[in-house]
Amino acid sequence: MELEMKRKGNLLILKVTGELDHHCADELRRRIDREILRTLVKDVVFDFTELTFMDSAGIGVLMGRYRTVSHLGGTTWFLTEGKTSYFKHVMKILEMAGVFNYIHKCKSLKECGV
Amino acid sequence: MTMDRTNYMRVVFPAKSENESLARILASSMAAQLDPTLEEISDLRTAVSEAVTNCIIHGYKLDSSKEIEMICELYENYIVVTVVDQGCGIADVQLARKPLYTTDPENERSGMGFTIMESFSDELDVESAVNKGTIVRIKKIFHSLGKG
Repeated sequence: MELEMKRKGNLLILKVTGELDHHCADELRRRIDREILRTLVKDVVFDFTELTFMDSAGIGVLMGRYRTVSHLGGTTWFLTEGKTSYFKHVMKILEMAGVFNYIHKCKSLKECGV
Repeated sequence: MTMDRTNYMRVVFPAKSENESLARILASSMAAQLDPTLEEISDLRTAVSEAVTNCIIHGYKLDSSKEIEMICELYENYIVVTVVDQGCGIADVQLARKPLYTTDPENERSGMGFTIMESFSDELDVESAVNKGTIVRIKKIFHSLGKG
């Protein structure tokens, strides 16, 4: 698992690549939470388009960050335009868990207001 | 009609979270011998990962000195993966299998493990006894092979 964090105005872009399972979920949430508190960004967008594996640990990471970000009055976005065949699988898991009842889908970063 | 088992493996590994990826690589490598679709392999990898993660988090409560056994059995057009722990067991299996049910919400567990295992497999059996352990059996049929 690799995490790339980039800030654009009030938006924190979180690109996670590789494999996201329970083994790396703790590290991922620690690093993201630290960055949210350090930069005091309002909104975050998750880019999972280049994951090569994800299980229910991904649901926990997304919903946990959604809670933090909404407490601080921000919005959590999720990029839905992945090109890999594995990304369809990621979307299937997240749809199944009802994650998009809380997290906003977006096709591009423009939609997140940057 | 009963089908012959064409290949199998039995592995034992410590309940360390590093071994979640090891387990799914082993199971999917064996399944790949049948040449199923990538989508079918993805389903299997996810289901196996959930089963092994459950042993580590819930069965053994992160005690990595304990062991998990995984048995993979290959048939003409399907695989059966059995994941066994000797952990704390599940008091109410029916309840545990319900979507969003979790005993550990503080650690951001989604409660979707069994739901995902069920959705991504063709049959899922769970046998459990409190303080004895849990056996999860996942059967994944590779429908793309068009046999059986």
